[in-house]
Amino acid sequence: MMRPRSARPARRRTTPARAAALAACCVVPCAAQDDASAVREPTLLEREAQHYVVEHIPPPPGAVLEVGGLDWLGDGRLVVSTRRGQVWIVSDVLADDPSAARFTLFAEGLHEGLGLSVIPGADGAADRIVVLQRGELTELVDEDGDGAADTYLTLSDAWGVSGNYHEFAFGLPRDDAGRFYVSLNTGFLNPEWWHGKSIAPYRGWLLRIDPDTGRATPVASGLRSPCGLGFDARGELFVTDNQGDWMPACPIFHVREGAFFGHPASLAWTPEYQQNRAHPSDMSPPDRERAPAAVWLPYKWSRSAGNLAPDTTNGRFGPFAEQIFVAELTNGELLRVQMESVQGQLQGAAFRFRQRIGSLARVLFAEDGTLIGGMTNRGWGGLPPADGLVRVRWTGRPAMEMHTVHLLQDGFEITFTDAVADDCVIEPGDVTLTQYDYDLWWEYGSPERNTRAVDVLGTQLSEDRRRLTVTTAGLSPAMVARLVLRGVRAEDGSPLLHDEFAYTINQLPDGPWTDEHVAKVADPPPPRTSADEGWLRLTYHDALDAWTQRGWELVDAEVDPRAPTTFMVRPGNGAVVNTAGRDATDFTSRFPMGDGRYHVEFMLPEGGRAGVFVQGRYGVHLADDAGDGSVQPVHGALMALADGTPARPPAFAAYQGAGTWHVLTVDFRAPRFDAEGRKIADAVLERVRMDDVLLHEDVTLTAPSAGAPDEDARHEAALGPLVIRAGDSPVALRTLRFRPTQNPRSDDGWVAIYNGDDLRGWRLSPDVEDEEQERWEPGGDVLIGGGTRSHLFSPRGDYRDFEVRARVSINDGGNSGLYLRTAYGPGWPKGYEAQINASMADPQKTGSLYGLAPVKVELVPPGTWFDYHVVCRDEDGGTRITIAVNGVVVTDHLDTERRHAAGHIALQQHHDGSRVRFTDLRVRVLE
Amino acid sequence: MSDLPHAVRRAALALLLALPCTRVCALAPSPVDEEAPSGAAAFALHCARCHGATGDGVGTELLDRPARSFLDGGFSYGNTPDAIFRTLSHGIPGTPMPGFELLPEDVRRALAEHVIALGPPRVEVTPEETEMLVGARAVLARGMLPSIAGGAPEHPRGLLLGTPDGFSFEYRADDLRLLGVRQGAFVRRSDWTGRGGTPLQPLGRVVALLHDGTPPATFTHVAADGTSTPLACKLRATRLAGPSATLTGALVGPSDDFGLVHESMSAARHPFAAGFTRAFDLPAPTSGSLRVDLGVAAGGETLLATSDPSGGWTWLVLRAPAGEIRCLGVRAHEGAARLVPGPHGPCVELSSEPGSGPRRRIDVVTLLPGRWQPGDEHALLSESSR
Repeated sequence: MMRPRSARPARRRTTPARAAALAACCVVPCAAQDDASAVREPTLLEREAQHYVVEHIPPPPGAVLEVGGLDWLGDGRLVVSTRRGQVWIVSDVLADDPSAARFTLFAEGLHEGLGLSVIPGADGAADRIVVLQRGELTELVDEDGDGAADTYLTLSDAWGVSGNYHEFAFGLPRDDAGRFYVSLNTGFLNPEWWHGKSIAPYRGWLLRIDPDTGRATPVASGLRSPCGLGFDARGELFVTDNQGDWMPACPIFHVREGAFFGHPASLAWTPEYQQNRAHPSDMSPPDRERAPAAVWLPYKWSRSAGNLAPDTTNGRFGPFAEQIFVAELTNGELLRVQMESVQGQLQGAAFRFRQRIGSLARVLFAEDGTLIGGMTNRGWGGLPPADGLVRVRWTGRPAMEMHTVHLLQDGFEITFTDAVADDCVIEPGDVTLTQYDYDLWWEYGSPERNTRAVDVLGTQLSEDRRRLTVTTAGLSPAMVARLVLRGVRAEDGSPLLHDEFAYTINQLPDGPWTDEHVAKVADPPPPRTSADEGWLRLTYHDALDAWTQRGWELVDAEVDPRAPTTFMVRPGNGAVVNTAGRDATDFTSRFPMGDGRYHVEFMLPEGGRAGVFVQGRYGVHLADDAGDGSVQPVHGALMALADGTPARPPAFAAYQGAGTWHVLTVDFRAPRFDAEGRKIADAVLERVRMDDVLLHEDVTLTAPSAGAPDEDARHEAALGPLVIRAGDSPVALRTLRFRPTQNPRSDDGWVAIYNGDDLRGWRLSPDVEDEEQERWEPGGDVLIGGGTRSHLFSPRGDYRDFEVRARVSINDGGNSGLYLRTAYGPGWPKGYEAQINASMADPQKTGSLYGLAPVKVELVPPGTWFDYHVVCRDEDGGTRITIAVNGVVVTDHLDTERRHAAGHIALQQHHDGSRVRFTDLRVRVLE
Repeated sequence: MSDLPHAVRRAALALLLALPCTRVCALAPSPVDEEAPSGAAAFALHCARCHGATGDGVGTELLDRPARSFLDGGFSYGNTPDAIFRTLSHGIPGTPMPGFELLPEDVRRALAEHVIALGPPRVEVTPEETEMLVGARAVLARGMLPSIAGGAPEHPRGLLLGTPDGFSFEYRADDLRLLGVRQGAFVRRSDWTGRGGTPLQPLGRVVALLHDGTPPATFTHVAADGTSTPLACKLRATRLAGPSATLTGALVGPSDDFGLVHESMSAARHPFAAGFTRAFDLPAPTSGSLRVDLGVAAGGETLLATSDPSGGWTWLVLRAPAGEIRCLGVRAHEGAARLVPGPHGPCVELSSEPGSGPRRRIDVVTLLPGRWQPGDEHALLSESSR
């Protein structure tokens, strides 16, 4: 990197007031006046500041300008709307001294104001100020001429607002025909709050609003959190979005009628979905042609994009006429975008432009070449200042920049703002070129994927030394190209101010045409609504209920400093400890388990030893032997097998010592058997980890461990209990969990009994207290129970031998149940009830056969989906009911009294405040 | 690390020595330490590996996307303590950020505060800043309204009008209907805090609730054959004029537009009792009649019903089942206005009158005397006739 030959002072005058204002703005170092810069390389920020100064405009006393909208009145005053529902008129905002700006409150009491537009008055009429509230497009009129609006006219409210906090409305560009454009955020609702949802009309859409009729026309859909819109200099409309679900990074979309940009929630308001009363899945890729983003802004430059504005100042902002400037909120910087049409589609390059401005949400150019920025980040976060007005001005000193990037079939033609110095040679080695794309999925954002280096074959400067042609071994469409160019400097010695761009290649100039996208549909990751989904918590709430044992207690334990081979225990619920010493039995789960991940947290005292036996057969040593060099460490070793296979030491010594809690996780695949019960595949320990350190991988177990609780090879089976054997020493356990491997479920023979649309045929219990109240909402795939007590009875009432399954979620404090063989009638249904209860005080938790076989451990936390599977059939001696949670049978009960012979399936809504969700509710009748 | 409590330091060492992992191990539901949780210690233990010891986003972990730097204060899902608590409880799917749901809640709260403190100073909105005051002029506040009474819904589009005499009138704005009237301070803009989008907090005491806060349509057209059609009232404008304000709505039926209705609110100037006045300027019905619901449920005891206008006013005094007294007075400026029972409660009925003008103006007074005793009738009527 070259140091500039001279750090010329900026051309502008520096008035004392301006100097003071600059000094007050700590984020604006004035590099030209910084003595230190004479002896060291200036930072990029300092170099940027030599070309573009950032000046913060002091807000009116006591006011906080959380800027959401900006526009100019014809007389040169600025109008500013804020998220606090105020509209300010600012005069002298372009005066040399930024503190000369004068603010007048024009309107207040509005419901946010994230967009504003001024309709110029024609033929001497006054300008009209239109502001976008959260739920309304409103014209503000000052009828009595006192300088403050007294009349607020509702121009349109033709979109939905559900009350969700995230349903912002953004705007407000206006086209030549006088119509406004508004983009509507999706909502973030529990429980899957990271999925944008469209529960009110046109959330996730861009609307065009005719202010004369108030009518809103849906223009484009597939948006998530589209914070900013803007026309470019040619009148093309663009909208930015914010990375998240179905939005791998922050894009700039070119808006065309009917375009769909990829986020599925908005599709709910298309005619197809409306006619079918369907809800778009927020987990499956939308089956709809997507319009590609014209530009993907790299994550490192943009984490929250605001609006955009073309430079229409005829060179007063520097040499970037008609290029687009984008507000970036989180990083607090200004980005520059240059586009071109390739195969009829706009695409192009993004550059950094000016850092450390503040939480920029809105930008607007003034005719004199000043860029006005509006800042806000309340609740979103971003670079300080968090709010206020700022202006960015060109010092008049040109920067050496890559002005324009033109895509070639096999490279780029880069035009610089100035000629490259005569003695500066640019070689292929000065160019670093990579390409990458993104995953499109419901997860939050996407890393850059499939990153690959592109070989640069040639670099050719034009005769005037202003254009560089970079030739490569080949570029791929439907990928972004990141190009870094080193060593370039202008005649005056200035190096490139920004040496990098990211060009979104949707199409190559000469084709072939590709239907692929930069954001490619990726295999959706497994659904995860919380860290607990899919797990069974085996020691939660009632820590001992899921275990067969004697001599273990729930206590708080720590190593006794006076007798470090023992624990000091006191009342508490921090650990389960074999306090009975040698009289304590093995700690054995009463649920048989198979394939999946076992999670055991443990602590040993000095010299402590224990064993963890998956299925009671396959053992891992736990031993406090880290401190004794004389002993071969056995901690984490797999025990020797009963068939003579020797013990297997761990790959790493991960044990940290006595008194420290450790986490052992075992990924296990049970042995497999043929129809005759012959073993056809051995058990496999796929991975054994200690505190996430991999100790063993893919170890086949040809037999049970020697000395295991059940070491007889003839007993090997698909299922078995988890056993912790303490031996002679104390051991403390906590957070024992199991997550069964999820196998694809067959729908063979299963009949859906809830159709996803309505409750045709289902009947509410006859004694519901208030007929009007809606208790059971068919919410698309999910049936939601709410309201006061009621029971919902299946259409069929003759179920006898059958199984029923569903995905279920119950809220905190909620209670529900799945009734079998139940009679239709008032009160609590007469039938078997598979209980659904996470955290309500009732000790019978999910998995209980109510009143007959309680499960007191809280296997699944509230608000977490789980698989429920109940089988009910008569057999010799009684009626057998088995209840499985996440694939693990936790109740297997024989009702010898055969209490209920046949009947309906019924769903319980236990009490007001309870909220239960069912989906994939299916029945299979057993022969 | 040396400033950490011993137990934490040891555990932190254990984790830091471990090889890279993308999931941080969950703890038991109850903490072993009984000290108040330290956000800094928990940060060192659970967060620093990815987010860096100083929170600068540069940790020892190799991630395919850089961890967030907390120094600049940006967050994916909001930067309020609650929002960050939620994010660190559930994680951010699709990123290496795991959920720490099993950490004790107080530790997660402490972590949220610590992470916020790493960033730039928070500009907190103080309660004083968010209170809107009413001075000599009426003030309007638009925003989401919380449920005004048990069982009444929130209104995402709400309108609150504060008048200088200390009344506030609470409307739903999607279909303009008065929900209730309050007395006292005006409103706190609680939507200025956090991420926004939360309901306003009206500060006055509810002195009159219309139909328990869930009023039916205010305006109903009754055709000559007796068919009644509730009319929607679409907000068209609000006008502030000194101490009073006017709301304008368009009356819309299923097939007809009925024209604009203007409603102006003020305190009632009646010495008998405090209350409020709604002055309506309505389109005259061209056929049948137009009814204006008075906001009082059917039922209750009628204490007084005058049939002849006294000083232009017709009065109906009711004792609601719960005991409160409402004195409803109606006065028509043009044509006739009658008090009639409607399906939801008493209404003012304006009939079409051949030869009358296109507009009708009525005043509807609601007085809230608190009690009703013999002789009050005279006080009410004599004051009305003045």
